[in-house]
Amino acid sequence: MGVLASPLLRRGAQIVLGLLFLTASLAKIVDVASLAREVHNFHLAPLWSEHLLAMVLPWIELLAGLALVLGIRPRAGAWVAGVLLVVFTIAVASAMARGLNFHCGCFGTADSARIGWAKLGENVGMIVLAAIGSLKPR
Amino acid sequence: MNEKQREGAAETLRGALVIVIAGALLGLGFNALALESHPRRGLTWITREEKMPSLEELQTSPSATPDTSARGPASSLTPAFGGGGGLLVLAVCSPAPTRYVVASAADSSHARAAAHKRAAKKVTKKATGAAAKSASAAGTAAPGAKAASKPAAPAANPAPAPPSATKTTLPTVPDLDKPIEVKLGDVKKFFDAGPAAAVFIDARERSEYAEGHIKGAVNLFYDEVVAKPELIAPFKNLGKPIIAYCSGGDCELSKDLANTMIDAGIRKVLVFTDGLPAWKAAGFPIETGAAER
Repeated sequence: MGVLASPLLRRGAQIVLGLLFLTASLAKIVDVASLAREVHNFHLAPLWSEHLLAMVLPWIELLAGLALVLGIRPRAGAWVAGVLLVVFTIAVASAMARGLNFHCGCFGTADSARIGWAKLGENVGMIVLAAIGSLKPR
Repeated sequence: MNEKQREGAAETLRGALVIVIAGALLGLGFNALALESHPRRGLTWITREEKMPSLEELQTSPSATPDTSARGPASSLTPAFGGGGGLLVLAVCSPAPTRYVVASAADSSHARAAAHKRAAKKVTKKATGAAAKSASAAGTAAPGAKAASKPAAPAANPAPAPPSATKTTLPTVPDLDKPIEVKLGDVKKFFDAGPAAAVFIDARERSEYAEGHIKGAVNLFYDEVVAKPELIAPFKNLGKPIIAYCSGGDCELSKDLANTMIDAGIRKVLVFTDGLPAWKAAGFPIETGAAER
């Protein structure tokens, strides 16, 4: 816990996670139609809400990323990022369990990764970053 | 938890709420602006079930006016297909005025065997050569053909016309700006009409393609297209329908590929949703082997 509580590590985790979120959000904002399709592919959210999710999610990611990178309420940003990542991870795991195989769209259309163990591992890694980033400064 | 800790937690929670609410408002506001823009962008507020139009329904629907959609206003949106390269022509005979007739003798079933022999060799040929060949045969330029070098390309050059060639009536494929679902029966018609009638694209991974694919199909793995969008360039300006397929069932690769092609301005993109399993089950021709790269 001592190492994890290091301010340098916490700040580093916040910046890395923030940059990842900024990248992901901008890629999604510029091609929201593709994101809507990816949301649909998961078959998890009610149909009527898919477009609303696609509209709103990238902007929440963008603000969380900005908060983390700029250090403005970074813990709040880390919490939001962490909760989003947990939801995304559950969605990916659920899709895998249902045998679905599609393009994740997690980083917009530039990301060719499909849902699978690699994506799950990537998400878990980012959850760890979010957890470190959300630690309270001493 | 002391007072100070509680305050800190409350502040973090407030911050998180601000991020979520502000993000949601920004997202909705941005979409509202996009919907008002010209050309109109953005998403509809409520998602409606958008089923792919079925080619079968489009044939019977009175609103289907393929003769004008192929050459009329829609073609001005997609000039690439307006000319059609001469590969597809509209039937002028009265019995089937709204259907394409592949008039080229090379498309006849007689020519198919010869064409497929060549197609089997050419089918996985690199895009540049084959697409350029296609364009050359069509007498049009294929701008994307030279740019791309990686993807497999359609075996578009039909066999020389035997004198006894007969006309094959094919379903009309309108210039819709969305993928069209196609069923096994119509897919087989295009297959039987020969390589000049349609391009078959297998959207699965190379290894799956190598294990077995529709005879004459080219391999264009969707993930590779995402990484290198220029891979679809050779499929522009082909002047004939593209039939994408994958493993049927929940497989989304062919739909994703079709949507990407539509976004790139390609039209007449059909998705064979039942995919290879249905084709195999019907006992239609399959071939194995990896795509040449």
